[in-house]
Amino acid sequence: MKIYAQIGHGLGEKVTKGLYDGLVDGSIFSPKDLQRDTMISRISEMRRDHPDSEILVDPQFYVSLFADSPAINLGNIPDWNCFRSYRKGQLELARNVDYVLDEYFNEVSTMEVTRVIAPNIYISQSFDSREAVIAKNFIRQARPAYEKTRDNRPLLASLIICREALLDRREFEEFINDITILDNPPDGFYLIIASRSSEARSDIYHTDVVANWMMLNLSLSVNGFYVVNGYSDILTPFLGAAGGAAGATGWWSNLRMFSLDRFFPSTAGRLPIVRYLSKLLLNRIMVSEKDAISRFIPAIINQLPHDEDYNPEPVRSEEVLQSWEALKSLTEELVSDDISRSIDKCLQAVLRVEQSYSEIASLGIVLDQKSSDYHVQPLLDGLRQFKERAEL
Amino acid sequence: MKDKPDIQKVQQVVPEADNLEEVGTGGYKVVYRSQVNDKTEAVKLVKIPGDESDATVRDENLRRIIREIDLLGKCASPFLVKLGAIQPRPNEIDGTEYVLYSEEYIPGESLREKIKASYFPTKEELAEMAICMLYAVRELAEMNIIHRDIKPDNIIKSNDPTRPYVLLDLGIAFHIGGTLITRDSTRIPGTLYYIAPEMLDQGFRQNLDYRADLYTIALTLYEFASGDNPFAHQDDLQFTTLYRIKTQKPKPLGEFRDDLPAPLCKLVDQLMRKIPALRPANFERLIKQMEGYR
Repeated sequence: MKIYAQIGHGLGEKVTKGLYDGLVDGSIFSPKDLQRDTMISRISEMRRDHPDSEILVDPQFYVSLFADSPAINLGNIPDWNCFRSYRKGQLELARNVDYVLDEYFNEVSTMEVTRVIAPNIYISQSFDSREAVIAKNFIRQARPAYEKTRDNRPLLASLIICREALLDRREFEEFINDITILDNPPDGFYLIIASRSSEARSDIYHTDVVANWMMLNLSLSVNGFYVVNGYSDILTPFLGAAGGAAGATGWWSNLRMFSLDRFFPSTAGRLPIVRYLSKLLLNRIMVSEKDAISRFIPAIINQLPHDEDYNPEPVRSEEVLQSWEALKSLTEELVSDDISRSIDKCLQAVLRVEQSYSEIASLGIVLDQKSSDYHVQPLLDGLRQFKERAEL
Repeated sequence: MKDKPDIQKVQQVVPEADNLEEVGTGGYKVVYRSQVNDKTEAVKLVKIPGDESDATVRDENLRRIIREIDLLGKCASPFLVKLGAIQPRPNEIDGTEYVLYSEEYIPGESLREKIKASYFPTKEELAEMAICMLYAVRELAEMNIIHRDIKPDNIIKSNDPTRPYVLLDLGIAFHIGGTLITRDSTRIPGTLYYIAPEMLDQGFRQNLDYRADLYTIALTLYEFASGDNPFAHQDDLQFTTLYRIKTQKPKPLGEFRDDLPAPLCKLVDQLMRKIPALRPANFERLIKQMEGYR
């Protein structure tokens, strides 16, 4: 399974370093955060310096339905000719969907991306909605529109789903039944599951959300699609175990968990503190917590090269290198060609997390809220539910 | 078929068929082997379901049966049974209405007979059977037909090497049942042990697609390979069987046949998943995978 850098504001040299050190296998650019010309030149540099790496652009067309909101910050997205504000009613017309796809494909055709991600809208509530119908039309029409460009790079349809939509199992299963049987399908899918806020961890670390995100990966991969998960962060190895080909994460919290609040002014005051991603805990903990716990439970340290950066503490811009390294290592440990074995390994890994948090509690070490075990039960239940429904 | 007509009376309405000999019967039909124009053919007598309180039901069913037989006539796949010399026509025997037509007669043995004889096929035979059925179902899917009654009884291992396995009873059972279900939502079309799980969902007809046939191909492969139908327990009530189909995970095929390649067994298992989206549905990929075992 591949790890991609989810690129946002403040690109700097992180991704280049990550690619150079083999911590990431590619990158996903965001039109919002880079001027179009800058993005084109950064992509060209990457192609030149790392010819084997994957380069994708997330069209971010999904904000088009919200583009008229007074407070929205679209950044550089309007630099793209295909982008404009739409209402749902307009996108119910096939000709408008075709127009968006044609314009976008023409625009991206000049970029040196390795796969082309087709635009789509955001399914903000339910699979039984007008938005879901429009989203399915974007998926169905992507390949015919793309064929007109004679571009032979693989095409990924995008699917941007609010986590609420994953809570209705019947609607979810009907939806995946539809998108896995298309007459002229794309080569793969770019999936984003959105939470209500990029700090709302319980939105994503929720039994049904974990299980259904994995089900999406499984159903698409079983049907031969290449599945890239955007903003998947620590869930990446679990999605890989379910059949996903790649997952992505970045350096800000809004690059680790997707939410539309990424397009609205931030209310936060100060920069978040530097954290350490412990493979054993499947969580990021504060450096002081890492130091305190590791005296009693040395296994919370990953024993990987970028651990050295935490002696005493890395600069903020390099924290993500340790995250990528830990995720890369985790996927190598947990993901194999045999899905049943991979899921069993994931379950064992989460059970070790549970046990480790019990040991930490017995030591009397009080953890910061974000470092706590909020993720353990939903992961465990989500994995078990997935295993049962996937009949593994 | 309940109250099936006397064979002599059938012979009277189909004078062009000589020496009628009953070879099978189902819920709505009787099948006879016969000589038609000096060729052996299967003559089929299909009862037209009606509704005494609604004459349009009979007309609708008759149109559907004729239409589906016409569609069958357009199928080119050698792995689907071909229409015979007797064109479909309505007939009345003892006041009951039927449609009568003929299909080619395929000499050979059904998979059911092979299973009963405890025959265990090789991986090459399984792959060959799968490939023939995939081609057949692909052609039906292209015509928007779902067979819905693929089972060992309906697959003949023929003596013709150019068409080693042939699928019988195309669509007829499905469409007759399908018509009824619009009037009687308690009736589930198909044969009990070979009903795809999604057909047990409320409103399934809106969402049904050819993956139901992929499921029954896999279930037939599973039973042919192992001799076991995971949902057929002789003393079970119908409800229990349906519950099993909907919820019970079959034992992996590899546990019955450790001599078969593990990826082949896993593919069969995967095609039997309850959720259609979890079944690989790309015909080209499936056929290519199966070719690897032939």
